[in-house]
Amino acid sequence: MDYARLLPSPDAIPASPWVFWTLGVLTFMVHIVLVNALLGGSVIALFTRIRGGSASREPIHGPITGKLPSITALAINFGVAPLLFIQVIYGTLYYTSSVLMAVFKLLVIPLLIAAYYGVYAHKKLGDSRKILATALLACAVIIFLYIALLFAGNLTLMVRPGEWTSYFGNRGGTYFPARDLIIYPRLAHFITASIAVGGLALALLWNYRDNGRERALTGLRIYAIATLFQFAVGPWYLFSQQDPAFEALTGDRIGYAAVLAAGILTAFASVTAAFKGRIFATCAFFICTMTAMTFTRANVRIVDTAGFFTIESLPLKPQYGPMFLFILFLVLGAAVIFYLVKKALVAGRGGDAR
Amino acid sequence: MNYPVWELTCIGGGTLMAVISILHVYVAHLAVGGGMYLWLTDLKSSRENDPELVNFLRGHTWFFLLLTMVFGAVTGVGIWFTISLINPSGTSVLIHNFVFAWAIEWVFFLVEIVSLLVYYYRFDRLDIAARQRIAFIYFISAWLSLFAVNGILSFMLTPGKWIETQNFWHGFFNPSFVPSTLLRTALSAMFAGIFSFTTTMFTTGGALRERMIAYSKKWLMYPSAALIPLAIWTYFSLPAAVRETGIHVNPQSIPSLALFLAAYLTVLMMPGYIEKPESIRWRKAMTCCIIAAGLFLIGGFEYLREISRKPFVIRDYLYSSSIKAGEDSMPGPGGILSKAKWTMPGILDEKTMEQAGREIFNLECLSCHTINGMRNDIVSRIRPLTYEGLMSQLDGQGSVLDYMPPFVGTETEKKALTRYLHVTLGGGYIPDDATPAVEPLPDVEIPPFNPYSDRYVLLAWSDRGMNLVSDCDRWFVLLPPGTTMRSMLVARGNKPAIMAGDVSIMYASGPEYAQPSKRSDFWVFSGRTMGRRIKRDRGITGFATDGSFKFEEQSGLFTASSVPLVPFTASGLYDPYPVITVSALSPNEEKPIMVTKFTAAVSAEFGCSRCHGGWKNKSVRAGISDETAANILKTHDRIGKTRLYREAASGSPKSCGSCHEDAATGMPGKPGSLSLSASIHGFHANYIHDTDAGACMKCHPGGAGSNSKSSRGIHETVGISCVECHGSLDLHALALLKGQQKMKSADRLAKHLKKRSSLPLERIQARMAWVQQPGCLTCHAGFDAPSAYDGFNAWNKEQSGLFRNSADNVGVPCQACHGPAHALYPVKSGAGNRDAVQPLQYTGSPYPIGSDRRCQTCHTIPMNESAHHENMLRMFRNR
Repeated sequence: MDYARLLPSPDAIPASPWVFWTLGVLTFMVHIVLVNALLGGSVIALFTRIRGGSASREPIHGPITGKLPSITALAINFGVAPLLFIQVIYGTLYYTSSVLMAVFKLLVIPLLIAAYYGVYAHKKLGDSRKILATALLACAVIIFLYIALLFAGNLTLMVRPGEWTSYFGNRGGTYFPARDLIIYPRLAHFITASIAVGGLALALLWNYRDNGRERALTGLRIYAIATLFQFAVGPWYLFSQQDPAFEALTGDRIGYAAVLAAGILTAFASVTAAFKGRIFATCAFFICTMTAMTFTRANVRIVDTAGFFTIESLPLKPQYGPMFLFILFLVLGAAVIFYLVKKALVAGRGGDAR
Repeated sequence: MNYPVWELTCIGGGTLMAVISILHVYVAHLAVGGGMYLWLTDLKSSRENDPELVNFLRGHTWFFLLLTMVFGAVTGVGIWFTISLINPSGTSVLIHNFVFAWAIEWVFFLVEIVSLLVYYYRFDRLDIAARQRIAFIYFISAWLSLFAVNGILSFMLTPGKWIETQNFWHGFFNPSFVPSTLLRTALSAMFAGIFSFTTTMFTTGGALRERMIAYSKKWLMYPSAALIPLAIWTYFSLPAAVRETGIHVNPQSIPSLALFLAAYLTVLMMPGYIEKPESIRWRKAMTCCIIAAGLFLIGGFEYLREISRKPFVIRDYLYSSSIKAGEDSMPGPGGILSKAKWTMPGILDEKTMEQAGREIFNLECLSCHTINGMRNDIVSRIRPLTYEGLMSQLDGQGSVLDYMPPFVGTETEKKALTRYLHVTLGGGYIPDDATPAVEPLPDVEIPPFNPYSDRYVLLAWSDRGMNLVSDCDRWFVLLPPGTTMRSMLVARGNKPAIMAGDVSIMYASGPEYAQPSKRSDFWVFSGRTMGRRIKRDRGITGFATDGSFKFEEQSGLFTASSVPLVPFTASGLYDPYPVITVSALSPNEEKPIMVTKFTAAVSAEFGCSRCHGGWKNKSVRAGISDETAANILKTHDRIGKTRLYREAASGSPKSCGSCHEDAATGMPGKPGSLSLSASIHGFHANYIHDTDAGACMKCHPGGAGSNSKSSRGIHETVGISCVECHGSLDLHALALLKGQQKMKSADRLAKHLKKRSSLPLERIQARMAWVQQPGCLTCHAGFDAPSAYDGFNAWNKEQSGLFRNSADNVGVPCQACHGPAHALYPVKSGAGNRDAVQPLQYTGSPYPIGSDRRCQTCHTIPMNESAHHENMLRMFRNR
């Protein structure tokens, strides 16, 4: 069957598609860093809990354990925004892909609630009931990995309309594009990045502790080693891309190739900085890498969908008033959050910020 | 039509949505009210310098954070996941039109999270003023979240001017936005009270507990006082059509409203129990009851809101089935399957009908109905209907019950869907077109008449061509046994005389029709159905199947009213043409001075089972079976919000006329209810769209395979059907409904009929059933041949103008010579010569008595005047 007849007709969008594209990329960047930190922090904590350690010394995952619930809250919140913006421009593809794997997708909700309560319980239990705490954390990690796999499948299926005809053999929402081999390097890429970011988060948290320098360096080492591993996973992911995307990233589209190259170079720089123990330089290079990779991800989607969908072709019915109101509230919200964070940080240091 | 349909057959998308959304909305409202609670309680603690209260607040916040930020936030995402899976088209419309409203809501959500985290994790480290400021920020951002989300939620129910303008602001600030936002705010504050009770009962003790109970009670009571006025305001902010369809018509509104009110009262009552110094276990149990009541309160409210919107997901714009309003009436020649993207392509033929039916079901039904599921199960709904009933259901879908969307598709697609529903899901069968052969009845012996020696002409007739008996008395009485017969005796002569009370006239239906109570339950249930016990084997006016006519001074006729004839004979046969022998007796003579016969046709062949199921055996079509009757009552109960089935099943059946006034039986009905005829025709006309007599014959006796024919006289013979006089079913119904147009229910039934009627309502003359009918002279102007066949819209003014009450210039009733309406001489009925006994007896021909210049039937001298009516001195036209 020709998949062209299956492509849903899009609804009109209220502003230039590039507004939503950009907002989607930027908010996704924050979301993915938080998600990486959550998964990476959880994996490192689980690993060190299972390996055990000196009773007299706080384990490496110590500072992040208590923050996992808050990171979860923020990761979920920052997931909402890109989810919203992706629906505006890629809704036709995204909904279709989601319906095909509806059961697996909807399972995310109860599982995420369980994982969320799991990390809270893990925090609350601390070192009091180690086995239970470790088991809860392990469950949370497994759930986070399930969610990652689910989204890898969901977002891959979204750009593979040729696969959509499988609906006619399975309408119960239990299809999963397991045979699409790109999902596995995609997942591996994400997990590796998560461990790296988890390490970097630990480095930052330890760095703010008195006498935490040594542990901060451990965190940086985790980051560096995971990122070095990423140099193996990354090419696997790159070579798994479909031809148009691969060719675009390797020179057909200079801009896209340059962004990817910048990401690789800054990643390399961040590894170097990490091995040298330079936390802030590592963070700066990491942010550059993250930015480049997030844009690369969005660019690959443009190439992947080019044969059947372009965001420029979306019908436009502009109503910019609500957009300006959103920008206003975003600025106000940022100011309020700045105030709140400042209060929290000052109060955390033992005094109130007046 | 744009997206694949997730086949959630037995669970149903609606159930999923209900579970996730109600749980989320409960917690989300708590998050708003709880924000206000944290802020005001924190202020109270510092104002009263109460360290115990601060301690309590810290614990409460921990519980609050776990509930709202984890469960509340994730289920909020869950709602998005769910609606995008079960209704991607609707989700897409909301996202594309309100993306920036959602984005703003996301900002508020972010501020909520950060402020609550800071409030909780820095509770003891912040100075009090800052902490309270942060609590306030949390509350405001949570309330603004509600503000933003409610703009979109209320838009779905009342999109207002957005439908024309598609303007963001018109959609957001829609007619129900303000009252519903305030209503939700009140609910939020109540929920804060509920959860204040919870943490109080489960985390405190001693004096603090008692103080906090009193404090929690205030949180519950003050907003609850505002809840009902705000709910009423919200109700009246809805357009009248929404209130009518969603709340008055939709039967699901009652349980939702009942749930809402019961939960509301429970929430108000429970604090009284908690306050009592009973055991702590008891008080905790009562607290759990309040938590559950809160869930039911919001569940009832949300469910009511959801069903008020039906059949739309965005009112007046997008149906729940994802078909846009406006696209429903124009599927195009290829039908819905050619428009829908996610269906198996192919030619729709006999082999692919079932698959096509499934596709259409997915497109049009699955968004609301489950298959063998708990909620809106389609199988239990279709089982009572036959194949034809389902086809009619689809024809009328979205009309009377306009909380359902109209069926969209071609006739073939309708058949495909019906086949899938009836055969595949319901296990039914498609009837073949063959009709059972009807054996013609044998002739009866014609009584003698000697025009040279007989001194009298005895005429007798039934005042209706066909009486109907519903014969399902243990369930309901639509029409009780009751045939009214009239007779007159004419003394022949130069100037014949109509005999009055100095003779007596007897009638006898014979042993086959005697003791009808042995073959009908009418008398068993008459105490319930007719309001009084009717004497066994007697009619409601006291006449039996054999007896004496009563002379009526006013009409000058001998009458036997409501004679309890039923079409079932003592021999166990179904014979709808009982032959009545009539004998005129003179006190001076031993033998009857004249004898005649006529048929008082009585039928039980209603067409109910064609659609409502019941009869499986095609050879037995008379009467209304238990299954048919029960199905009808259940349908009536569902639509009319009655309890007729349960009452009948417990031995208390009703007569339709006990609520619906019926001039045919003299039943008074109840004020505010439509007449039986207006109601039954008005309702069914919405489901039967045929405009020819076939529509009438679906229900009335006379269709193919019927043993009895309602219409069988000369009009039938020359091809004049019901619709030439009464109008097509829609016009017929509209005329009746217009006669009662002050009633809301008449308007409801007429609403969709008007749209497809061939005449605008203002040009339709209102009519009262059985009191006003089409008149003969509308077509037969001057008693001449009609120039056109159109008797519709010209009704008699008074009941005396009815054909059955009319007489000629010298007082001979029209029916005496022409026979009853619908069985006018000459009759070809398949009932042998039964319908023509008197013309054959007195004139030797089947034509009206006195036609063909046969004046000597009564007159003993030749007549040259049209004394009875104009144009009568001629040969009968239609031979």
